[in-house]
Amino acid sequence: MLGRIFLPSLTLLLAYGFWASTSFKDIAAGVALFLFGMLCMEQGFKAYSGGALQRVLSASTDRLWKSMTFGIVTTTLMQSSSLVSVITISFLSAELIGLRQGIGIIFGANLGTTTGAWIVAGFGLKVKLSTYALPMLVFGVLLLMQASQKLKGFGWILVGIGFLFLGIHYMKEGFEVYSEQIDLTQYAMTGIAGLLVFTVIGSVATVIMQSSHATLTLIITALSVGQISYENALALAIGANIGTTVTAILGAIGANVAGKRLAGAHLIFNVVTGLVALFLIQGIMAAVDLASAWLGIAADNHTLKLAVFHTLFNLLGIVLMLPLVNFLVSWLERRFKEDNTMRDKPRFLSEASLSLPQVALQAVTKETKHLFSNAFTLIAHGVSVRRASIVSKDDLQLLIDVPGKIIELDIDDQYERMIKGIYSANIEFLSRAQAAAPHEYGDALNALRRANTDLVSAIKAVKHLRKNLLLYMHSDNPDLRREYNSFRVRIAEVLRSLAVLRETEDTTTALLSLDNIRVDILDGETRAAKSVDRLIRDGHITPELATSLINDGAYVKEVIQRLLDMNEQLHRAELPHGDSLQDELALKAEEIANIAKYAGTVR
Amino acid sequence: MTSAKLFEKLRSLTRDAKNVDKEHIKKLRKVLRKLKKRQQKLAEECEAAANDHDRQKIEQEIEVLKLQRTKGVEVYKRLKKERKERKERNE
Repeated sequence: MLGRIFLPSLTLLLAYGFWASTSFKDIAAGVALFLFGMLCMEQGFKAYSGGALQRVLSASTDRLWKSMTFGIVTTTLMQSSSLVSVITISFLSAELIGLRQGIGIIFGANLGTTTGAWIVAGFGLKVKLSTYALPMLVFGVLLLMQASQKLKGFGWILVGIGFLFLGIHYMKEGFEVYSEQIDLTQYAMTGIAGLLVFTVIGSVATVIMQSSHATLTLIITALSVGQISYENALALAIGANIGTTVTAILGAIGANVAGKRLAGAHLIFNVVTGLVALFLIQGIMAAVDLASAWLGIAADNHTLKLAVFHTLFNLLGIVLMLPLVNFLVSWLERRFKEDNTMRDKPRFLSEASLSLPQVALQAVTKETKHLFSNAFTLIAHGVSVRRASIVSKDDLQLLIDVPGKIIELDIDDQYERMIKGIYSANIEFLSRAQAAAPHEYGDALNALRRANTDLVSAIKAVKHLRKNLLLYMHSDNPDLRREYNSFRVRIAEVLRSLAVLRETEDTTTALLSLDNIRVDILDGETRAAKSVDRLIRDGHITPELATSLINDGAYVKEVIQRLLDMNEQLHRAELPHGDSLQDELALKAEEIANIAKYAGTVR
Repeated sequence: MTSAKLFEKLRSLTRDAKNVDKEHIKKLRKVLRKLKKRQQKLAEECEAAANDHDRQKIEQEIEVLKLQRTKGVEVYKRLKKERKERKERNE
């Protein structure tokens, strides 16, 4: 609704502005080029934000000061706090970092983003940026045509900087011409009213442009030609800081709990910092004068003094908020809780991670493991075995003679609650990730898709098996009872083996361990088939019961096979691209059959 | 096949062949060491097994590990031989 009114109004307003003033057109074009430049730079940095960034992140975010430094450095380098926020949300959603570390990065990013004002005020206004912009665009486009993703990424960064420079150039030109026609300083306001009005204008401008960096550049260029007063520029900068949180809030609407918590932290930090700056504006201005004098900045150099102000008040925010981080973390965790009451939901997937292939892969791998954990319980209960018995060291063979109580379960209802939401989200996420990710991620993403579908097939097979299983696990016919309880034991043993396998850290050895489980399975199948033959031959069960037993044996085989395939695919997705070592060492079907045959003869 | 794909394929065939092999051999040795360690641990467990069923299960896993290690050693020998031949050709 808002979009339907807002967009046409803005378009009309801009169209009128273009018609009324050429310099307004220059300024608007400058802003558009600047924003496009930022988009290009974001695109470029994404090429470097996979494995390398993750390695840096994990090494540099174990302490709060380290995560803050990470936020400062990355935002300074990328000149985009929103990209750093997006990356942080995606890492947080995938549980690669904790909320405390995420908050540290956001605090750091707020300080890092102030370097933009320094660059524009200290360098951008003194140098004719368009001279540098054009060669950058040429070299950038040349690199964009290369096959290498890294070179392409670098190309995007160059093109981005080129457009940023062009944008600043147009804004500067526009304001220079504008100042000859209209004197905007006549609208300047002093006192508290001026402070509040220009704070609101700064916030609104940032919400519209979705970039505090662009707002600040606009403020600096306007300030440089004397189109706004210094005091009003400071209020606009405070407004820009508050307005930038709207981007984070909008991003968090579709995000999971982790994203909402981080957006909450971002909002609290910026609003508190903004309010403090408004209350202490006179004190901060005095501090700016002192710091400027110490740095050798002339008293009338308002653009650089604005940069000093921007840095100082963000620094003040960090100093104020840092002692409250632990309180903030616990408050946000209480405020935004995981909804576990009804349906289980995806925990690690986020819109933000889709644009970072490595993070997207890790997120969906974790989500598939989450799904497996839920399916583990459902399958165990489906064959009436407690999860605790499987993960303990209990002798599962005892279940054959002492079947225990039936675990009451509405398998369809549990499927809806524990599986369907996550499964659907995984499949959707995988499809979107596959469309966005480079081809080297294709195998891993395909493997995860198969892992998800295998898991659901295993559950479906349990559903079919359960009908007769519940009927015969306490049957008066001891032979039939024994066979059905053997089914339960076979599935429970595979689940136990897979639970042990999940603890294995090395993916190649984990995949090789599947061979031993395969031998076990084959041995179990052979013995079950022999047992049914014997029962039919000796007349211990009717032909009708025998066919039920054979059909249900097929379901057991399906459950086990799918569970095994699922685990194989899950581990394969974790292998580095092109790693084939486990395929060279893994046993062939006939080798597994030979070992199983030998095992069968000695047992 | 487009020329770009062909060039990429050629590049991947020639690019850092030495390093790829070196990494592969390094990883293989690491895996073989792990498998050997596991086999030794299982052999100890086999001697202390409480019953026949447990013992047979352990023996079966040892068989799997033996076979995997044999394959691994063969792969290791082959890679070493190929590396040596490539070195000789380059000299």
